[in-house]
Amino acid sequence: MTDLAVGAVAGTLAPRRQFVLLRRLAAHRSFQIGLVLVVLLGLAAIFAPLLTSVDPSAMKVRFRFRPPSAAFPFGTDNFGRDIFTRVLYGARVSLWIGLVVAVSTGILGAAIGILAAQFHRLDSILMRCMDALMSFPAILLALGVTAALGPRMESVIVALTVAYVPAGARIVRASALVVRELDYIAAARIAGASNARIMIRHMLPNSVSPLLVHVTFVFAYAILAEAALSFLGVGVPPPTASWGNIIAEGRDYATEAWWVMLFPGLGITLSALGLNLVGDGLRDVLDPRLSWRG
Amino acid sequence: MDALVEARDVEMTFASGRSGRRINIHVLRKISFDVGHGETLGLVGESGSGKSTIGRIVVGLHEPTGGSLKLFGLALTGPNRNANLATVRSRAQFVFQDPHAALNPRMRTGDSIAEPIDVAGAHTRRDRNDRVKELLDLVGLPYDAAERFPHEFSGGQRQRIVIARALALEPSFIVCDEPVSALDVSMQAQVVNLLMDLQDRFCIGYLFIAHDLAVVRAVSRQVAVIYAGAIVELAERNALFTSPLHPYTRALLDAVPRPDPSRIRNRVIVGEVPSLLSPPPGCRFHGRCPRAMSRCTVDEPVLRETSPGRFTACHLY
Amino acid sequence: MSALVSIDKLAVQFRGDRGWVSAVEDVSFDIGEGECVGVVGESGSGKSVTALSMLRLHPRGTARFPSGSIVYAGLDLLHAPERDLRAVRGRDIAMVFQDPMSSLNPVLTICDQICEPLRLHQGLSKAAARRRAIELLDLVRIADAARRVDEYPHRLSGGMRQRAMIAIAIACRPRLLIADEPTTALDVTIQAQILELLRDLRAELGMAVLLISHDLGVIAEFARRVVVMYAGRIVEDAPVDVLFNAPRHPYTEGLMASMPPLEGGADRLYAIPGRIPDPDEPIPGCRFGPRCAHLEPVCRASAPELVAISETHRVRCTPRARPGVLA
Repeated sequence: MTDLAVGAVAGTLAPRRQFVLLRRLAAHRSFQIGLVLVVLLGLAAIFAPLLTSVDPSAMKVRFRFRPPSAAFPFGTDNFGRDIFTRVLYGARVSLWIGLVVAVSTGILGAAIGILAAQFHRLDSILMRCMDALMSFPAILLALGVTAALGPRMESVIVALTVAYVPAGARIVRASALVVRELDYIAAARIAGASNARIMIRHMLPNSVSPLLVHVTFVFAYAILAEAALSFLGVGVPPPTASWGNIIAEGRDYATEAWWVMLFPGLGITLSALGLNLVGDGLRDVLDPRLSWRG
Repeated sequence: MDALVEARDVEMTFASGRSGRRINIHVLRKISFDVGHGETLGLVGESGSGKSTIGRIVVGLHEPTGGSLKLFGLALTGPNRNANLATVRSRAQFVFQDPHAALNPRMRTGDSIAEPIDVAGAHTRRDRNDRVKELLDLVGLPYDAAERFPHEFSGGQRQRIVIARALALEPSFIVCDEPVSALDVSMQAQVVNLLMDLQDRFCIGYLFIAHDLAVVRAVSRQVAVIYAGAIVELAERNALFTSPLHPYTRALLDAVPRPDPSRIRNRVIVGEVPSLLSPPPGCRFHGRCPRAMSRCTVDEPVLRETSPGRFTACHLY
Repeated sequence: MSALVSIDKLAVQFRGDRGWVSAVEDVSFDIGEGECVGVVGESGSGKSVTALSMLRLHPRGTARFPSGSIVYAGLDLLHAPERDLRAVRGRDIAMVFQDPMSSLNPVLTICDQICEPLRLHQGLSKAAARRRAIELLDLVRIADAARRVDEYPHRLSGGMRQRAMIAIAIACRPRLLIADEPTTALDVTIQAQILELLRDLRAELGMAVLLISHDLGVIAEFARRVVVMYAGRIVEDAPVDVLFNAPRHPYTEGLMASMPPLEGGADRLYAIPGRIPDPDEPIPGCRFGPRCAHLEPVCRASAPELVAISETHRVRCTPRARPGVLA
């Protein structure tokens, strides 16, 4: 048989299948709905000053307990403050807390998880610490931290991050342990790569997908947790508006001014729903069983 | 001239289990072989034979628990292991079995191929990219492959990328661990030819590990047969295939299915590879050997030169 | 003589990222009573898809059958109601898969898994089924069957698990056993044992076997008739000695030539150039064309049909199917 030139033999490359994941995401119905919800709420929060010219703390005692109307779309509370404005500004606080907690959990969780997977002795220590933290219910843990650090927005963020990092670390560690055994890690070692390079370049990008999904859920949990903490009086302190403390303040007048609790509650529900849908979509699309080749 | 690889009585034991219930698994016992410059030593065995472990030891991924191993004349066992390994590391490389697991799915192909170069440092960006193009060309892939991700390639093409990466630092020795087993038949021939062309061109020595005897025969100069952690036969390839001495080698050759419908089949060998946790005494093969003697249940045979150039570990010789 | 199973113009499509993709097209062949048919092909050939389609084992909603039929005992398996199909699965037609670890349920004992078809299809009592299970393990040559029957799959070696799978498959004495790459994951010596076992069982139980493999050697040693598949289509169908001594299709020829001979003597191997096409890749005419050394203009102009060049030999190749052409 003729000696075929090596170059001619490999065959052509298949046409590029770019952005397979993004296309799949775009086609996922729940994801679309969730994304729209989250983006709308996010935009409302960002552009709050444009959407309302009222000061959220402005008290107009003449207009106490007004039900929703043209002048006050969400009504007013016991101090005459415009709930619509408070909810928009509250969105800024609640969504911000959720975002920062989610991102911090992601970063810390990834770091701890990868380090634990790579270094066996560190693994035992780190995981025992994570276990210890996980044995406290998140709210109790958060209570403890805010009590220690004083009631401020920052305390809430720290508390919730501490509560949610262990789960994230576990998730990353589980993926990283699998990745560690794969041949391309051995190949990197043979090439002389340092531990740092292996962890950052190889293990991290490949262990992180389940964390991405988890982090969107953490965003939602954090919003809910902030509400709970504020409701208990150990969250964001008044007069700063957050969805949680609007509800907390409205608790005493629940029967007379139901709108005070309803609208921030809706905000929490919709954002948690939206984030959950986004997380579901991400999880479906990132499912490793789905082949890349479609 | 020093052989590329010199293994003498290499042993490998893995410890498993928690402290207190520690079990030692003797994966390799007294492994001895040489790989000469520009030559191929084929290593044939079934699962549990330890052949993959040998490959990983030779390239420095594991440290042997006993015996001596020299790579390019430098000892990889003993006190200078780390220093020696750092010196010779760039000259020895590895080609993996599973093309799907051997490449980082989140790294572009060009970056994967260039990783050995990047890690070694001291190259300009321009030189590095030129080298990547050169390597892609050597393995028969188009230049724009460098921008793509592994999932955009077929198995055979991915294996070529793995080979390109192995060639990055101009190694003189490559361990090929089942390089074509995971590929389709029509791809296997392409990749085997590629490996042989590269050997001719760059005088690379191979340790070619496989379970497919036909492929091993095509590429090797010498062949070693390994069973349950020990080499049972080592000989020049034609001699081994035309007149196998060890009963296991015979059984292996008989068992390989041939594309010849009219072939008369010999009696099939019974039994399975013994467990590494509780190996039988004496020769590990005696339970399945059609020619076992009483001595075989007591004494483990040693690999000896039974005739010039032929090594066998069997009491029959 | 009517065939046991008759596959006629089978077409299977899978749901891909961009719509339905054709995995298999125009597959037609018969399996006779007690016959031993081998299907050989590489990845993307559609051989496993064909096998799974015979029992409609694809996950719901992922596959559809735009045309064709698979007829067994008067029943079209592709379109029969699920209830009728269930009566056939495991009883008349059984299947053995490639990877015994994922085909056996790791949390059930071997006994539970063998007894399942026995109790389902034959209505045996627990005790009677267990006795039969031990008999079956003996039949598949697992030593110490009475003890092994109560073990969990992870305690058995690869070869033993495969034997256990075969025992489950033959429990109700099926008339057809489909074996999809049954030995691919096993060592060579174990593979030889399993193939020998399948040969003996076939003779003892008089069942037909459809053996699917990418390994031409395995096919040569086992099958009486061979169907060669490429890129979702049958390219050649012939008795085993005819196929190996005088193949007609260039792909078959290429496949055989690229196997390194165990007897040695090859310096460089023959390699079929190019690569296997993606299922949705548009190729004008013959799908093997781009890789074929004997390509003619007619091959690109129209897709070749599967044509009978003798009573038992069919080829899908326009130039090679012309009358009077020598192999």
